[in-house]
Order: sequence, then structure tokens, then C-alpha cells
Amino acid sequence: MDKAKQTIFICSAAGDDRRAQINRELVEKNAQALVDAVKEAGTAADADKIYMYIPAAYEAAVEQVKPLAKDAGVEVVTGDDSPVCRDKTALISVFNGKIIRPYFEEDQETFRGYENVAKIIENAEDVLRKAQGTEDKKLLYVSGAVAAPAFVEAPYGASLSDIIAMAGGVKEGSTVKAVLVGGELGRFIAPDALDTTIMEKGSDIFTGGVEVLDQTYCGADFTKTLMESAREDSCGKCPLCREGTYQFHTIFNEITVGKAKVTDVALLKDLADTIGWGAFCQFGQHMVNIVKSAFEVMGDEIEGHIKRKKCEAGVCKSFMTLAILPDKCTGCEECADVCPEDAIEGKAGYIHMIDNDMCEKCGKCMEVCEEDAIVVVGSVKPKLPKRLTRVGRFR
Amino acid sequence: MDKIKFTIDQHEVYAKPGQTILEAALDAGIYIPHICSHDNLHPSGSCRLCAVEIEGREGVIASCTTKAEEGMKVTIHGEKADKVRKLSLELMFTPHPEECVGCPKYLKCQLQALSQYVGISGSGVRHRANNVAADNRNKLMLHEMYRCVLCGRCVRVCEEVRGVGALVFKKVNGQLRVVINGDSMENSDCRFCGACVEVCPTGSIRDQIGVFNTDLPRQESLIPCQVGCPAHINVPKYIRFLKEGNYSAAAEVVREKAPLPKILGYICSHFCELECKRRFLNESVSIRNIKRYACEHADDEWKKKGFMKPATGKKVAVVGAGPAGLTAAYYLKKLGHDVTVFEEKKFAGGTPRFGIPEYRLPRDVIEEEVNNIREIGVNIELNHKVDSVDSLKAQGFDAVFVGVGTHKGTRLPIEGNDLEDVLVNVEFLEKASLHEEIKLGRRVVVLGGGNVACDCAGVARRLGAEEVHMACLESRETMPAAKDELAEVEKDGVHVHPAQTFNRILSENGKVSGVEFSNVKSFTFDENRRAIIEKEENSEHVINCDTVIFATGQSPALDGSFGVELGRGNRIVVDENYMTSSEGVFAAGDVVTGTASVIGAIAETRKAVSAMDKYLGGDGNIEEKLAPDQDANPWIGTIKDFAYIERQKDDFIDDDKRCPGFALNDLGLNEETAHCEATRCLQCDLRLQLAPQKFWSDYPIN
Repeated sequence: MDKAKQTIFICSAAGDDRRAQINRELVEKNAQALVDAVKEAGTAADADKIYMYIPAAYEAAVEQVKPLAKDAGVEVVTGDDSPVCRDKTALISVFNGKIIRPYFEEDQETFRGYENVAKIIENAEDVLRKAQGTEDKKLLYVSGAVAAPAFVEAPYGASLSDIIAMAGGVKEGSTVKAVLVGGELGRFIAPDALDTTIMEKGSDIFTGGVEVLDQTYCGADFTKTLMESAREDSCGKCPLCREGTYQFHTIFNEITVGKAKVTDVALLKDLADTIGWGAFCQFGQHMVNIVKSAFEVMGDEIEGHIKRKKCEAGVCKSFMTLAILPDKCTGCEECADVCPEDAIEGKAGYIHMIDNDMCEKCGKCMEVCEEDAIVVVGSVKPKLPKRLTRVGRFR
Repeated sequence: MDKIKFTIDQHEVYAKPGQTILEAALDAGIYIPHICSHDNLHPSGSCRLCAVEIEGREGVIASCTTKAEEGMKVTIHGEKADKVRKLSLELMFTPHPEECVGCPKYLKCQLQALSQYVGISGSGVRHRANNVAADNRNKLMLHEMYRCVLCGRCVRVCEEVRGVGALVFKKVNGQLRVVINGDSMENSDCRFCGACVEVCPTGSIRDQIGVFNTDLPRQESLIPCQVGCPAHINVPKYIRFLKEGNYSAAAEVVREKAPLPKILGYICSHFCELECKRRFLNESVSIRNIKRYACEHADDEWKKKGFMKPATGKKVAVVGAGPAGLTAAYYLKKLGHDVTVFEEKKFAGGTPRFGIPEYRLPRDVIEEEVNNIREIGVNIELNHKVDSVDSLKAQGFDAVFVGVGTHKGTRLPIEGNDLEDVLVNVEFLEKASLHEEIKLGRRVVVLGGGNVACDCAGVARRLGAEEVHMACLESRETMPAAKDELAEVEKDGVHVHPAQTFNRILSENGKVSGVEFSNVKSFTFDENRRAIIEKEENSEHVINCDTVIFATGQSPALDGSFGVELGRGNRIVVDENYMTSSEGVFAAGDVVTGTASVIGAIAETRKAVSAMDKYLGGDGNIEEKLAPDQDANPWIGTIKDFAYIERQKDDFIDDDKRCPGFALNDLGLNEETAHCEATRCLQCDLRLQLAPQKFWSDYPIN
């Protein structure tokens, strides 16, 4: 192959796990060191031009880097960002001012494309660590049910338990349900696998976020949130990922509102397998792991929404029942006044009653009740009046 | 070049080096489903329908982005590949309208064909509403993107092949869509080449109804100017040559189909422009004037090209030296026959010489083109009237071509039509052309609303008539005269009176004193093509004048003694091979069709000559190649405000120099405006470079 017209070096701060934003932290905290490292790496690679690509949304990072880069002769390019940008061709697209969209590149070595410009693309953390000689570590953001959510510098070889310990360990009173490693492109890890899940170099899940889920998280609702994010981030190029994320988000949403069918569990698993085989890029191939591992780790809880119409964590409001305890209600009318749905019946001096069909479970009534008379009812329903009853007269 | 041998299912396939599995398969007639892939586009890999499995490789592989390798064993319908394909298609359909029947692309849709082939099972995936409003604003192309499956072919062809980028992907409310790169097609840098329509597999981007004649084969319908031209001159080709500055080549393209290109450059009825696709955008390209500019700046190199067959020993007579006769003589001579043209008048040229006034068509242009025909060895005998075809046969001619046109004017049967100062179009124009004395009054009324009437009115003004009126039955909108010719006579100060019926010509002392008209309420034809005129009651009025000119049609100046069967309007009757009732006597042009156009006469004559040559023992092939091949560049790029570039006006002589006198009025385009007009061309022919859409049933192995 004849020589490329030009060689450019691009240091990319794009492609973050959205829930961790490692690159933002890294650029903001190490602006000067990073610029120096980029300059050094670009020069060593014999590049004709050196660039840094920073997501435009990382405003503070861009502000900091711009003047430093200018002095170093490094050009800063800003633009859109999503985890799809971990794909080099997608990054090239967005770097060139187009939408995020990976493409088929014949030349997987230099990505020279039709414009015949060879591109060396390296991740910001790799560039920085290489310059600092700290390639044995990885920056992670540990959050969720931990004592002290924080960015931690974890050494390769550490187990997930070790990593959680670096953030103060699991929060007091929390029982770990699952640990999400790697955000929407990662995987749920079961509590019994924390010691055996080791952060290896080149791991495709230890990309930034470590999120500990305890009993207050609902597996179905959390997966829905991740899939909503995946749906927004999917570049839309291939129908498997574009419409697949739509199906995942829609069906998980139906699960959380009690509208899903029993057959949907098999459908979701089947979709996840097939999309994983067929999607164009790693984004599509990896995001299905969330769905797969959600069923592996929290399957019973998720299926409970469908089969038992129940949200164990009490997160999915559709499955909630609110009740006004007759022995606590003073008939003050505060709750009825604040209810936006007019779902509370009652008058002064009478025990108030909630119509759960009309109730949107917004919780406003619970906030205003000074007697703490309004509660979320569990599986055992308290005895409630059927018609308006004067305070103190119900038995 | 070494071929790569590999297998697809049980078939042995040979790929060219660098070919993908999909390309090699399709070349070998083996169908692998696909939709984002297109012959003219770089592989995209987005649709995942071309999924295959390869022995020794894990998982599912997209055959459109994987190169064929020696010894590879490819399976199209592996379990996983089929699942991927099915799901991908099924998901593609989730935002797509569920009903096919109402779609204009029904049965011509690649997506529909795919759903047939792959099969869609109701797996339980949710349908998704895709509420994108239809965009009907552009008159050439419409967007109904609620049908779009985002294969991206339109975006890619616009960017990769055309270098334009008028269509782009954009996320709108979180959904990826194909959108116009601007607030309208006109503001998107679009060059309106139609490539997006050509590659769209669904009914999302389509030509507006009426832009193309869908009854014709694709090859023809996509180039409306060429199909509109009776002689099917390759218009986009010569426009492109002009744009390159290769005027000679441009003129040669015209000359390949018409031996009188310069005359056409001045006075062609430009059916091409009437069909030009650009008229839906703003105005047609000024095609005729591009032709005129090219011909006026072309060299004589064409004379060395083309064919000249050896003498056949056959003698052919051509009667009439007008466009039909000259065209016949030109080709018959080239076919090797010995040609003699008999012209009754003292100049060759026919209607262009005697009918069209010299302020529209300079006489030296006609002389030059006639001489070109003489030059190849055609003998033109002027002042030689042929009374009957039999006399020619008696002289030993093996075949006769009659192209005598329509040179007898019609006098309408109304009171006063035989008065002394009542003239008839043909004679009037002929006298003017020959600079003979014409007794013309101060005030002239021309009866008729066609192009000939316009010429009569224009000539009358130039001969010094102070007041010239033109009156016709038709309404302003339906007047047969070309709009531009009408505009010209109005510039000459001619008063145009549409929707008038002529009651009688008034006279005083045997002299014309005026014409009485009534207003026409409605003017239609019945099933026998007879005019039905409804007058407005009590609307009689008079235009005073001292001369009246009939310009109400003309017919061949022939009668039965000529020796061929005459039909309606005295026109010669011919069979499908252009042969008249007399064996070996052929006819074409106005004498057969009635007064029509020069280009029409040329086109018809070409067909007649072909038939004549066969009659004389030849192969009838008159096609010749004069212009070089052209490799039209598909990469057209962008031009600022392309949609808004207005039709360039010709240069004209100053208005005060028009009358009196016969100086050429329309000076045509200059270098700058000619090139600008060429730039305005939408290059409809580029669309034919794109591979037509194929379906699974087009491949023998499916």
C-alpha cells in the first residue's frame, strides 16, 4: 500500500461510561500532565498533527485544556460523545464533525479511509499512564451502596471486593444484590462472585463504573434505566442495536408497570443472544450483556414483576399500594388537599381513604401527613374502612 | 489476475481479488439477502441481512464487509446467521408502516421482497410508531420518511458518489433519521440528480408523480429531454461537452442525430426544454441556445468522421430541399446511393429559407448547412419542379423521397377573403424572404395564433406597418404559438387578441377597411376534430385595417396528378415503412404530418431513410458516431445556491433596432451565460450509471 498522505494522532477523551465519566475526571485533574503526555506520544508516533478530542459536554475540562494545548501545539477538537465512540471509526466520524456512526474500514491498522489520512487513536488514560509509568493501574468510579463513593485508582489484579473496599466497603445496613461493572456496556456481577471477579488488563467491563446495588434498588427498574440510556446512545446504524435497545427499554418498562407478558422473558433473552451475535459494533454486542446478566443475577426479582405482579424493592410504583392507617388519621384534610390526582376521599374529622386505582404513588400525601398515617402497604394489608368513618369510630 | 476459489453452501465460487463474499456471490448468481449494500456504494455493513457463517470462524459474519479468501467455506443459512437475519429484518419492520398495499412502491420494494424471502414471524417484538411528516414541498422529489429503514443508501450515494451531502443522518428526538441537510431541498446543496431516489429500496424517497413518464423503459424515461426530442439527441451529453469547453464535440453529438444542427440552434421547437426536469425547480435549461452556442463555436473536424459507404449504384431522387429533403439526401448519399435533389424554388432550405424570417434565422446559416450537404456529393437542382413521381421513375430513379412540406396557405371561407389586400401566410413570408415587393398597408391584421402568425406579424412590423394586430380563436393560454415567440412579437409592438372569431372582412370601395370579430365564449373540438365555437352574443366589434394576412394553417401544394395517394388535408399517405401508394416512393416531414417542426421532420426522415435503404438493399443503419465517448463524472459536488440559478436570458439587439429592418434579433447566449446554462443542467443521465435495483428472484440461485 502506498504511503498515507498524512498521519494524525488523536488522543480521545470520548467513549466514557456515562455513569462514571472517568475521562472528565482525568482531564480536569491532570490537564497539564495530559497535554504534555499527548504531545510526547504524538511526537513519538511521528504524527504530522496532534489532536485531543474532548466531549463538548465536559466544559470545564475543555476550558482547562484549550490554552495549555495551544501552547503545546496540540489542537483540541470538541463534539458529541457516547460509549459508541470507543469504536475508532465512530470516533473518526465524530472527530470529522459528523454524527457518531462507526463505519466499515478496510485498513484496520491506520484507519486511513478514503481521504488517505492515517490516524493513530489512543485513549486519554492510556496516554497519561504511559507517560507517568502507572500503566498497572486503572481509574474507576465506585458508587451506589458503598460507604464512601469515590474515584479510586485500582491496581490490575484487584478483585471486585478489593475495589469496593477502596470506597469504604459496602454501606452499613446494605445487602448487596448485584454489582454493575462498566455501565450500560458492562455486566451485573452476582454477590457471590465479587472475590472471583478480577480486574484484568484489557477487560471489557472494567471501563470506569463500579456500582453496588443493594436491597433499595429494583433490578427491573435499574435495567430499564440502563436500557433507556443505551437506547439514547445507540448510534442507530444497525437495526439490531437501534431497534433492539428500543425493544429492551420498552419491554423492561412494561415489566416495571406490570404490563409485560410471561413470554417476554424468553423473548428478551432471545433478543439479547441474537443481537449479541449480529450487531455491527461492540456497543451493540456488549449492551446485550446487561440484559443477559440481569436475568442471571436478578432473574427471580425481575420475573416477580411479571408473574407475581410485585416489586420486591418497592421501587416500581405500579405495584405499590398506599394506605391511610385508620388509627393514626386525625381527619385534618392535609393529604386530600395536596393530592394532585384527587385520589383521597375524606372530610374534616373523618378517616381519609385512598383510591389506589387513581393514585399515582407520587408520595406527596406521605410528605404532608404530620401523623405519619400514610404508609406503603406490603404483602399484608391493614384493615381499612370501606366508607367514610368518623375519626375514632373505626374498629 | 488470480481468482480466489471458495465455496458458498455447495457451490464453488470464484472471486476477484479484493471482492467481498457478497459481491462474489451475487456475481455468481447466488443470492444472499442484503439491503444496505449497493453496487455503486462502499460496503456499509449496517443491515446485517447478509449474515453468513464461515467454517472455522466463530459467530456470524457480515458477508458484505468480509473479503473472500481461498478455500473459505461459507454457509448462508446457518442457524445463527438465519436468526440474525430474521431478527434484523423484523426489527427493521417495527417502525415501518404495517400495510404494504397503500404504498406507491408496492411490488417494486426491496424491503417487501426481502420480507417475502426471509419471512417474518411474530416473535412478540413491539411495533413502534414512526411519526415523521411527509415532505412534499419539492416538486421533483418527495420524502415520506416514515417508511425509511435507515439503510443509508441515499445518504451514502449523495456523499460518496456525488460529493454533495444534501442528505444526512441526524438524531431527532432521540431517533436516528435521514434528513435534508438544510431547511429545504433547495437550501441543502442538492443537485437534484435523483440518485437518492434511484437507490432507495423502499417508498421513502420518490420522484414526484409526473416528473418522469413511467410508461417508458427506465433508460428512456429518466432523461426527459432526450425522450422529448423527436430525434432523441443526447442532450445531457452535449451540454456536458459544452461545459467542458469542447464545443466541437457538443455539436457532433447533435449532428449524430440531425444534419442541420445550426438551423436547429436558432429555430428548433425545443421539445427538450418543454420536458426538461429543471422546469419543476425554476425554469427549463436553455437547451436550444446551448446547442446554438456550441454549433457556432465548433470546428469542421466532424467532416472527417462518420461513415461513407461505397457506391451502391442505386439512383435516388429527393423532391424538395427543405429539412426533410436535405436530411434524406445527406443520409442516402452516405449510404452509398446516388442522390439528386429537385427543388422548385431558387434556393434550397425549404421552410427555414422561405417561411422563417431572416431576423430569426440568418440566411448564411442555411447556406452553410446546405453546402455541407452538397459537399458530400449531393446534387441539388434548383428551379426544378417535379410534377409527378412517375416522371422521376421514368428517368430511372430506383427510389424517390418526397419531402415537399406544406407550402399552400389556407384562406378561410369568410366574406371578403378574396379582396385585393388580403394576403396568405406562405406567399407573404416567401416574398419577404426573397425581398420581393409587398404591397402592405399601414394597419395590418394577422388572423391566426400560431408560430407562423407570429412570423407574419413580426415581418409586417419590420416592413413598416405601423399597427399590427394578431387575432385567434384560442384563449391566451391555449394559443398554439410558443410562449417565447409570442413574447417576441409583443416586444415588436404587435397587439395580440386571443379568443376572437372572424366574422368577415369589411371593405370600402373594394379596399379592405377592417375585420369584424366576435368574442369567443368557448372553443372546443368535437369527436371528429371539428371546431365548435360558441360566440359571445352582441360582442361584434371591428378592428380597422387596410391589410389582412391569413395565417390559419397550410397544406401540401399537391394534387392527384403528383402520383401518390393523398389523405386528409392533402397530406401524403404513407405506410409504416414510410412508403407511399407508389412503389419505391417514400415521404416524410410536414407533407406527411402536416405543418409541424423542423426537428420532427428530421427525425421522421431518418426513419424513412432507414426504410428506404432497406428497400434499396442496404441494412438501413444510419447511426453514426461523430462525438467522442464521454465518461461523465458522477462526482458533481456542490454549487452555491444551485437550485436558485435562474435561466439565463439571450442577448438581444437594442429594442429600437428591431423595426424596421431584418437584423438578427436574438443573439443567443454568450460564453458566460452558455456555461451558466450548462451548469444548470440537472444531469438526469447520471442516474443511469447507478445499478438498477435487483430482487432475490433475479438471481438463479436463491
